[in-house]
Amino acid sequence: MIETLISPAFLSDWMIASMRMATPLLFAALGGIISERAGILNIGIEGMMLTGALFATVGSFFLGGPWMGTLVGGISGALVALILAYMAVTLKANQTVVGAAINLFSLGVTGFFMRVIFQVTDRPVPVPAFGFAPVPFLHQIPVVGGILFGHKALVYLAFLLVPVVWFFVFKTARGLNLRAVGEYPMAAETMGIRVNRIRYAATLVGGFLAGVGGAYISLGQMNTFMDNMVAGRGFIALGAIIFGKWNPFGVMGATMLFGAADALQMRFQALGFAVPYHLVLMLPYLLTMVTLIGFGRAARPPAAIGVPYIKEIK
Amino acid sequence: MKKKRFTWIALIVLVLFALSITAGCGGAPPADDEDEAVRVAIVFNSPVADSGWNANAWQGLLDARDKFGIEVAYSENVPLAEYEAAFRDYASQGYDMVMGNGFEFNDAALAVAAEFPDVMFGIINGLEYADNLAGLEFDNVEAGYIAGVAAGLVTQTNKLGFIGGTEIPSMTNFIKGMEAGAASVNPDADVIVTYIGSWDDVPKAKELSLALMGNGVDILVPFASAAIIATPEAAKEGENVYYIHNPNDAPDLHPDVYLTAAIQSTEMLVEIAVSRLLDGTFEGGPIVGNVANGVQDVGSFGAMVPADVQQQMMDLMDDLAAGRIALPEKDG
Repeated sequence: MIETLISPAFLSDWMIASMRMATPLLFAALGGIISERAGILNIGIEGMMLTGALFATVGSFFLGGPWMGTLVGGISGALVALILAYMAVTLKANQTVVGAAINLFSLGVTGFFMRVIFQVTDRPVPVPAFGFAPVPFLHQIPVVGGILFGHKALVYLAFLLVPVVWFFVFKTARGLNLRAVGEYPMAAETMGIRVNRIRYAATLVGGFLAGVGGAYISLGQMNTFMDNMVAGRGFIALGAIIFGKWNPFGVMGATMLFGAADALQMRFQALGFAVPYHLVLMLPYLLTMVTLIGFGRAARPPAAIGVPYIKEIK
Repeated sequence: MKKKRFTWIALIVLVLFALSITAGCGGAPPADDEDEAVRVAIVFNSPVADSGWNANAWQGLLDARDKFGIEVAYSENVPLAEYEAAFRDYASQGYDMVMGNGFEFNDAALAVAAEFPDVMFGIINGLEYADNLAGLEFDNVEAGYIAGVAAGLVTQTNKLGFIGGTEIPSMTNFIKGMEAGAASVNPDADVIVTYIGSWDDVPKAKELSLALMGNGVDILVPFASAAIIATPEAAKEGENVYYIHNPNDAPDLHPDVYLTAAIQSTEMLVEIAVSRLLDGTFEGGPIVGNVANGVQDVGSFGAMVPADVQQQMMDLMDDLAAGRIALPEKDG
């Protein structure tokens, strides 16, 4: 048993699977960082991913190809996010309630649209999906090459977005504005920053990335849409944001941990270890809790998260 | 003012919409013209057009209608609290048999069956019975046995992978049969059992299949709808990996990786219940679908299945139909 677990073949297979499984979480969580840094709590990530997953297959089917599908999926996620933005920013509604409503709404709406668009068939409709896109030359590097450079295109994109989002949030003027809006919107407003406009934009970007995460599930991991196929990944992404302390690199670590733990429990099952499967299925969550105890020194969320910004009456 | 009126209109529209969804009763024909036709109704707790579980049961009734000239009706999206009311409605309208699609209808059927002793009730996957209440179920041990024999005969690596939803009796019974079937033809074959831990996590089912393939499994047996969709996609990423379909025959769906199917026909099962109603042999208790009564079968064979294996499978069907094979006892 131990020999199997430390063999290079097992380890590289496990790491490759971990990256595959971290990818949708990473897209969604990076989007979540942007909206939460602007003070908008996006509980509806799950629903936006699900919407993105469906409309990615629609886009891929009708517009010819997974890239168009991914774009359509992202836009559909952003459109759902527009509901959140309108409710949370303009109407100043409770963001948790709106987010939860979006999740329930998306579950029903995607099931409905799938049946309307693809007709009701007794089998899922396959659409053009992503193939493997190994990076030339680099993927031939022993061990590491396979782990890092033997994936589908969206996997690279997700991990490349990590430094991009980090640079944007922490090293640019717009990123500073974003954070100011999420920390102390009144001060931001007095500095001439248009709080609500930034909140709208951040929510839409967050929705777009959640939609792309969904697109990866339907077009990267599979080639079709099924009811509720996101299956809770949006909530895991929400956890990863907190776990990663609203920092893209931290969030990458968190999503990799979730992915690795889940990939490991599957391999335990697949190797036929005589451990009750309930126990094995628990592993990812157990690992998360243990890690939180170790590293989870009080994470401080953006101060104005979830608080609607109401201009003072002059 | 204007805003307020808009809010009211929106609210009314929403409520109407919600009502139309929850109470969306379907194709019940008006029960005015009383003729001699036997009438059978079925109640669903989700949409009838789900391209699966409900659609199959409804198709069974439609087949029975065409074959026996009965009248059929359904109610869909019936919430738990309305099960009894829906049953009572049909029973008091003089329907001869009322069915519920799923064991969750069992309690409601028990209650209403007692009130209408002359109406027959049939619950698909039902577990409790009464004099006029039958449970329609599949012999999952037998279905697993069919899959196990096919997989055991074809495997090159002697590793067979099972992918289920969560650990419930229909799963464990199938596994029992699969292990016995594989062992009967290939003592070296090892059945590796895995569970997704959910019923709709399609990507996870695919990852689980890939993990099994990583351990050398070359025959995948998915037994949950998420896995049946995902597993063939995983098999296509491997070499010489095949899968066994369920519950219908599907040779043209993924021909490159298709081995055969373990057929479990809800349509046939429903039709049997209706035919028993018509010839007066319908009685309370289990109605079990198996090879002998044509509900279960082996599917068409993929191009990779050698002729002698196909012959062995056909012989197995004869043996199962004749009761010549001792299957393991089923769980609860």
